[in-house]
Amino acid sequence: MRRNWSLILLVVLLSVTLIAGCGGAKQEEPKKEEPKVEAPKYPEKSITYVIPFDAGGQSDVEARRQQPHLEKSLGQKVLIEYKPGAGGAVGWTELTRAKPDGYYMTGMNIPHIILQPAQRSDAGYKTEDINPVAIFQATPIGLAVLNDSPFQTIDEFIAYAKENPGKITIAGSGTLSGHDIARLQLEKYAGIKTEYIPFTGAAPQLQAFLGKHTMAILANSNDLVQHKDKIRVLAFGSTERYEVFPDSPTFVEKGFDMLPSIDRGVAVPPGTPADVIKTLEAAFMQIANDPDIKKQMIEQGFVPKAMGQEESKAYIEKTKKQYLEILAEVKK
Amino acid sequence: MAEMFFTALVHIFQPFNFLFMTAGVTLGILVGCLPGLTATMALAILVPFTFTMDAIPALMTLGGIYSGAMYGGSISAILVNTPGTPSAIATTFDGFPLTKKGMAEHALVTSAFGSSIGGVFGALCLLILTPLLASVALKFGPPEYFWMAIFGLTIIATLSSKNMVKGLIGGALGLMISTIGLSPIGGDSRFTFGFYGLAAGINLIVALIGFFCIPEVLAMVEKITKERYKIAEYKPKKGVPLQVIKELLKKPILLLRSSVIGTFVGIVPGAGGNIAALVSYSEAVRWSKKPEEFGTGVIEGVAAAETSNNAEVGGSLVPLLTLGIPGAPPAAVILGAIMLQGMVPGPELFTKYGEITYTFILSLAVANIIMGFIGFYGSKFFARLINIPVNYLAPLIVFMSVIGSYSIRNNMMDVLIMVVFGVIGYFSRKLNFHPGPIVLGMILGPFAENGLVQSMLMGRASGSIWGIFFTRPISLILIIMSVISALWPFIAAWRKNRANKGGLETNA
Amino acid sequence: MRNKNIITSLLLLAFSIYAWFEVKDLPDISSFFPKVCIGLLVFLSLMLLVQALRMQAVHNDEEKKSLRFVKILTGGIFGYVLTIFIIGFNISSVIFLGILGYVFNPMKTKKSLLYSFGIGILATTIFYVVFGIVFNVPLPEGIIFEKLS
Repeated sequence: MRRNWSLILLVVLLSVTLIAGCGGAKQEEPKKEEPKVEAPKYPEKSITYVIPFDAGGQSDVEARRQQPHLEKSLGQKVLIEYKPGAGGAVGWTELTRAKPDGYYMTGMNIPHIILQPAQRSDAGYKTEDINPVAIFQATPIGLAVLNDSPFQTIDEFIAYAKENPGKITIAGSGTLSGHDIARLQLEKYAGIKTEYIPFTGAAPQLQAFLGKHTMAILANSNDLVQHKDKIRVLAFGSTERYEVFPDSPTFVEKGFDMLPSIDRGVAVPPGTPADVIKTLEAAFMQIANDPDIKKQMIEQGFVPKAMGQEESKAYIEKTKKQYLEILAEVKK
Repeated sequence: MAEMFFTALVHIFQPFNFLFMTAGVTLGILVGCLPGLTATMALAILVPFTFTMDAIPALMTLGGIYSGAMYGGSISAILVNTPGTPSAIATTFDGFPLTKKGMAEHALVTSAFGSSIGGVFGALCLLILTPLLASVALKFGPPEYFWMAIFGLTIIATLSSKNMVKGLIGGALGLMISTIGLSPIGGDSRFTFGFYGLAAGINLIVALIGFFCIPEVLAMVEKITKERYKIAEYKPKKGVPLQVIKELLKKPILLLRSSVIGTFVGIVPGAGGNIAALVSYSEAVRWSKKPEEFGTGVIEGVAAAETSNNAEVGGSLVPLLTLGIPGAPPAAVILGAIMLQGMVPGPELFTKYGEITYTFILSLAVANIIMGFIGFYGSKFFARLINIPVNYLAPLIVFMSVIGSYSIRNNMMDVLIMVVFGVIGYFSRKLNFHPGPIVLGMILGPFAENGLVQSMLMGRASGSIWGIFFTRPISLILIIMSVISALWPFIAAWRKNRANKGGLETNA
Repeated sequence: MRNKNIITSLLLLAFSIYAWFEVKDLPDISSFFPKVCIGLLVFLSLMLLVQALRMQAVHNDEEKKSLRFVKILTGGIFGYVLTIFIIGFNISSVIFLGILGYVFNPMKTKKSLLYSFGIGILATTIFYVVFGIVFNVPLPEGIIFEKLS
């Protein structure tokens, strides 16, 4: 029987390709390069701004808002790219493996970048490897019900929940995400049990809530503001009362030690030179302090923030401690 | 109201606006016809260009792109059996067989005409019925999504009349493939083998290119012998467009039904052109007097699919404009554009920004008409592409598939998955497994799983885990529809039997 | 077809068993749906098996087809993907289009070889410009180049 060379070649080629293709995707230690002394001409070419979510989402809208200003301050084109998947994990994993030359940055979301590696060993990245540049936006999370709901205040809500454990359905986005953790904190401090229904994003959770398929919702401030005429916010996750919902107490007011919020910022790969980060930080801070942008953000229900590199790092550390504690409790 | 109408028309026909809208339609068609590039991607890429424009031209352009892309996907679906966008999956069922019969132009014109009609219908529904339809979107909760997914799966019964077991197995495999990655509820990794790249699951488009395109290319190459080396002979004939239009106008019910299905599916948030087209196709088969013809290359099949996927555009904008909840992924990008223009979805869009909104909606209808014309005149040109000899065509198609699958997430892993699926697809075809049910399973899997688990949690809260599935009006309607749809092949056979009792032998 | 169906159904059953093992240890919320699908698949595979066993064994002479080209193309595609990974998209595409355009041509002349490479270069250039520049969608560079820069 003649040796079937073509078949053998095929199999060899196949195996090599599979191994090579997979090799690019397997777990690797993110490379740590020596920070070079950069020539002062940064940036010399266009910069890629990656959004680790789908187009049209909140992070996308924010990036688009920043894009023209960034291009002006940096003097180069800013190209927005989408790398959605696994709730952002795919984008952040790629971030930790990208070249730290200052031409690649990715939007970052807190607490996502803390919760994901803490819960999955195969997240692909570690929180420490996300190198923050700035945090420019916060959306505190609020608990809300529809206008025709029987619950007028959070106290009524809690009272009902105590008598009917597990009966109240709360719509949220994601499992063991910012919303879910907020729910767990609420349950702990108020001494109640509820049924959390996880949805895959803001739009689905709002749809379910507005359609009366769940009794309550834990949602981001901008979503709450968008539908403010239809809902009653029972409690809000900021430090002080929010202007748009002046009658809604904060969780803190009620004695619950929780400040649930989803924060957005931007990060670069580990090992990016310090002065490059400074340049990027300055560009983002300028936008963050721009009064027109701040006004737009507030109108849409966002809380503008202007945290630079050091502040962001500290904030992430602090939040990480808090969330890891909560996770440890849940596991019991 | 009438005054709004005229103001809108004035805006639409302003040279600048009109030009950009037409450019949008053309661009949409071109992007749509490249497998791997979807309507969503086209919109995402072009949104930045619309910043500097005013709201009206910006939205008109985006609307044009969306509509154009929905039609454009059919071009590659018809010519090379590869859906250019997921909404063209159903178009391949009859589109490609038509090409093989040498009737590529017929198929393309059908698609252009159907898309046009469907798009105008969808836009008119959006214009007139929005307040009514918006509430429909909200009535769909987790149990309804579950039953909708089940109904979608029963379509497999209609699609795979030749061997239902294999069709159903395909569907089950599709469901399994959709579970690869992080579980939507629970967030646990399934079937990822530690690759972070798989945590996001198998991308639908990658699978589409793999299952539809590669096996076809391999089949093409199989047939190379000493002489034959074109897929099919296309000889331009005169007067095809008018002939086709006359044929289609004889079937108003087909067009109307497909449009209604498309609009309705579009309204349901999350369900997009792909589901709309598949449901519409299967209904066309169900209600046709000659169902066995579908799949062999009949223009009714192409018309059913394409009419509904353009009608879906209007439908998907209903929940978007009223609630900010996109009816389909491309609508989400348009939401971003709307918000960047400083507008917020809700009643304000129809009052304070009414002029902009009504112009936008009406422009969709106009865009679809323009698209129809581009389609008619372009069909002869597109159909000629079939005449490229296979020895060049096959590698070129592979080349484009690689570009397409890479450009989704800029990830080589996707290209690899596409090729692997391609090889699997080739063998499945040899074993008589049609890719349609598999892809349908992949599309509906997430709806089924989310719907199932979320409903179970809701049920647990209200005391009965399973009760919640059977106690809601819309759910019950969907259940009845699913049962009828699943049993249809038997009902159809029974009816045929009765009709044949008159004299001839029935099939054993 | 009978034998092929039998083998297919057995493979599907084997796959189902493997899949079961993969998900059985996951928490309920994440394993419920896959388990239902696996159950469905097992049921259907058994049906296929039964159906196949009851079929007549038919030997049909299949059309003489050029499986050689299928293997070449498949190998070619994998090779193409591998080369893209190493030396980048542009060069790989030109090579791929050029070589296969010639190999699949029943008439092999010098002219047709030039023709294929010509088409290869033309197509690659057009798409590079459209995607890389107009759409700003980067095409793979290849690790060799990344290591060099």
